[in-house]
Amino acid sequence: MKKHGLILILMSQILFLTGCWDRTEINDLAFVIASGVDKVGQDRYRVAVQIPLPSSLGGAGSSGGGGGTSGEGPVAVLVGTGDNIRQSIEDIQARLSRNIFFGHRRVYIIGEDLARQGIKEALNSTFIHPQSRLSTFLVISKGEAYEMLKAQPRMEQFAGEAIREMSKTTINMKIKDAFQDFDRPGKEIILPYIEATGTTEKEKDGKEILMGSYAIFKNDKMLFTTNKSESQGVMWLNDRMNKKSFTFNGLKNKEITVQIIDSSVKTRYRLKDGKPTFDLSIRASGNLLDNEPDLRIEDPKTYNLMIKNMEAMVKKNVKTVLDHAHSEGADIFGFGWYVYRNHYHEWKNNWKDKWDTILPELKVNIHVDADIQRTTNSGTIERK
Amino acid sequence: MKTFKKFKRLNSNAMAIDETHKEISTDLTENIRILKELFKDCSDIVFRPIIAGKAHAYVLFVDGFIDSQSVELHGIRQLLEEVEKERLSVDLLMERVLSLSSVNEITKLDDVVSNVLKANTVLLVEGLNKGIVFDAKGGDRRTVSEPQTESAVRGPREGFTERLRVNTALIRSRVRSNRLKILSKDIGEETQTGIAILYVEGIAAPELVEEVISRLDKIKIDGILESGYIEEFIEDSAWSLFPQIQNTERPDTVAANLLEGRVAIIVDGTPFVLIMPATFWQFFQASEDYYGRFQIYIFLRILRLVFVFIALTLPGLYVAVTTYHQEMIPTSLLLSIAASRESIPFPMFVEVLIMELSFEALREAGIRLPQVIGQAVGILGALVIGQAAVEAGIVSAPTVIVISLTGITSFTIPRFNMSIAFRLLRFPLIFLGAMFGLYGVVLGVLTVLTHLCKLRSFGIPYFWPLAPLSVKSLKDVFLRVPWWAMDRRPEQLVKEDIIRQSKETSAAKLSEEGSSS
Repeated sequence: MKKHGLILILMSQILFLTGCWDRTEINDLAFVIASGVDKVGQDRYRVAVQIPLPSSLGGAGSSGGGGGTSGEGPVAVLVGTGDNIRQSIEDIQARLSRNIFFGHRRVYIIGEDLARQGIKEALNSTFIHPQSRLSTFLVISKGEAYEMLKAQPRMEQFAGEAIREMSKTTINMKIKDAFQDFDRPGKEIILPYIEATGTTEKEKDGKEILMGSYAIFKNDKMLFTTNKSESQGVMWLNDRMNKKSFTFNGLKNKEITVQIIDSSVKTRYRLKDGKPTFDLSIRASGNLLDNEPDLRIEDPKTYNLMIKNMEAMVKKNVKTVLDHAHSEGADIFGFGWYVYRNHYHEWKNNWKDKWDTILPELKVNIHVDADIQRTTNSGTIERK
Repeated sequence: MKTFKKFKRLNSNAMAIDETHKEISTDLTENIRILKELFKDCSDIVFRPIIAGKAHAYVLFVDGFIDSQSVELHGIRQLLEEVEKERLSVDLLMERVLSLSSVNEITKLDDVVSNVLKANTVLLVEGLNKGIVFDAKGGDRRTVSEPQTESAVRGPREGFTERLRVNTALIRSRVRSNRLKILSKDIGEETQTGIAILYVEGIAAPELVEEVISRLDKIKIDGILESGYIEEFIEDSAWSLFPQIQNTERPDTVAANLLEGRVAIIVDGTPFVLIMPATFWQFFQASEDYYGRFQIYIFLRILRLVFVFIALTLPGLYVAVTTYHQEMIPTSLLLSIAASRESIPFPMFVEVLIMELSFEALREAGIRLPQVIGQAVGILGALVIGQAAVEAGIVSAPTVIVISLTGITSFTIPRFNMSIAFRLLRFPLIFLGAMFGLYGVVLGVLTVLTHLCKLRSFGIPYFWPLAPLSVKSLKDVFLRVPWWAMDRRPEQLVKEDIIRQSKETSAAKLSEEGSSS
């Protein structure tokens, strides 16, 4: 019995071996759901964090309820500056009654100015901090990241949540993916590029968030943003067109829209005249969504014509973005990475050092194989 | 002075007890003198003098214990009318006069005492050195009715009563086999409580029966008033929270367990019958599991185990996760918890403890109070705890949900004694969660698991067939395979007669399946 007691006492000491007593009540924490980082001046950072205000979230028993009273909404955006990112966060902390908690940050916004100078430090600071999640979505903002956090999208309670939902449906880039692409030879980072806009073109009050294009990187530095056609090319290359609609020219300025229900991208590599050449085959099939020229798609002749147009459009989108990126030396699809993985010796011996010079003249043959599987109903065709 | 009197009386009683070892003498008045001394101040003992023929006689019984009508009809009237001239003898009385079904002779005075107390009727006749015992038990007792603690949608409506023989009859009527053995025993120096040990010979392991009897033999106590007394005396680990002996009010449950090689103990005066050995899983099985469609009960059994896990760990996990691991809660849930906790003055741990204790108070009040008031307690609890406490900002709504979920899930355990074990274990887990976070909760659950694996009930590992693993027997633990597939008795319990249905039954069922598909 005595022995058992001793063992029990010794065993109970195991409980204290972890050594940390970090009990914190939920209400002593400030949960960051999105943060943004900008560069100010030469070597100073400005960090903005978005923190929901529990008291105005409308929980039972709390006095608030029913959204914000002022224009702010149930959320606070706090800004701090410092010589590095961590110091900027401490600057915010100094003005905050609750501990900043990054375990729930889902969106990390990097301002365009900082992105053009390199995002390495900004990414590293998240990696070092144990509270950070690698599954945080990473986006680049037009103008200052702080402006994005101030936006008040009407669908969601917080701008951070809106950006997260949008990131999920586009190319789904998380901090982890950015790190991976950064580490891969012959593959560059692409990140969603957001801007604060309004309901219409004229009404630019910065309340809504637009995620319409992509920022193309070279190493950790941002090169350019894509235009509309190029953005679609990025989506095709990343195989993220599923369930998205795709519009192409039908007949004399009248467009046809299909919803993509199935797509795939395949690459083949071969040497031609001692130069690396790639065959990119894209398969796409869709359902008819809009038929402005009122064509009878069921008719084989029309159908083939339309399919040709669709294939040409896909090819054009992909080609423009590839050409643009390659001309600036960014291998956004990862052709180099493909060679690295499948023909490592060739990569190591022949291309590794020369890839940047080869890239602008890299020959990529794009083959598109499209079809429209379902034409759905039309109420007006028969009257003709 | 009073105590002295009492002492004296005790003393005289002791003297009389010495005399009881005597044989019954032919002198009736001497016998009656001794017996009257023994039953001094026992106003319920009836000494009915009669004159049968020429001989004086006495009929002894306890008022209220016997069926006075049959004593009168088959005993007293027979004696008064039939016995006229013939010379009285024990054989004559037993064979010709007393028209009752169960008649015995006794020779000792202490047998007279014990038989009278056991609700038998004793006849002492002048000139005979033997007493005649006849069984005319009666009196008003609770009749067989639906068991209160184990209700079932489908299944027999009969439940045990407080009378030993009624209970044994309920089982005998289900197992009509001469292999069903019912051993009797009296335990309790003063109460002399009748106890029956039931088993099916050839199925139950003889060592098990011996072990049960030898453990019962060791009980030396003044009284046994409920089978719970016996349970605490004979269980393997007296300090464990977990019940190692099952109790039930349902005769069908007892019959089924006897057929699986277990031993049952019926205690006179309580409807709760003990079944041993018991495994952990038995407490999560209701008798109805075996009567309904098996698919549904497979689902329910798995659900019950999930619920037990929730009942045990949920409050602890809730405290641990909200105070240590905020990153583990989905963002939107965390924000709504934070929002509802904004005006709560207590730490999470205190809040959970307040809720748990008030919930336990409500539950206890609901059980103890008369049913009519019990309902009022329920309404009061729902209103006060559910609504007002949240609005008053004393507890937060998520905590109320967590605690009520815990309560509801703990009610799904079919056996009450297992349910209270988990009810109690919740509290250490809340403490561990509050002090050490998830680490503490996991350690706590591991400790409970280790303890469960270590427990044994009459030599059977408590966690069997999961630990030690027996894949064959798992078919009646998480699952409840259809009856035609349960062709064997549990192998840990039964050594010899392990096949419980002939090959043809199960084979016929299987071939039928095959041809129809």
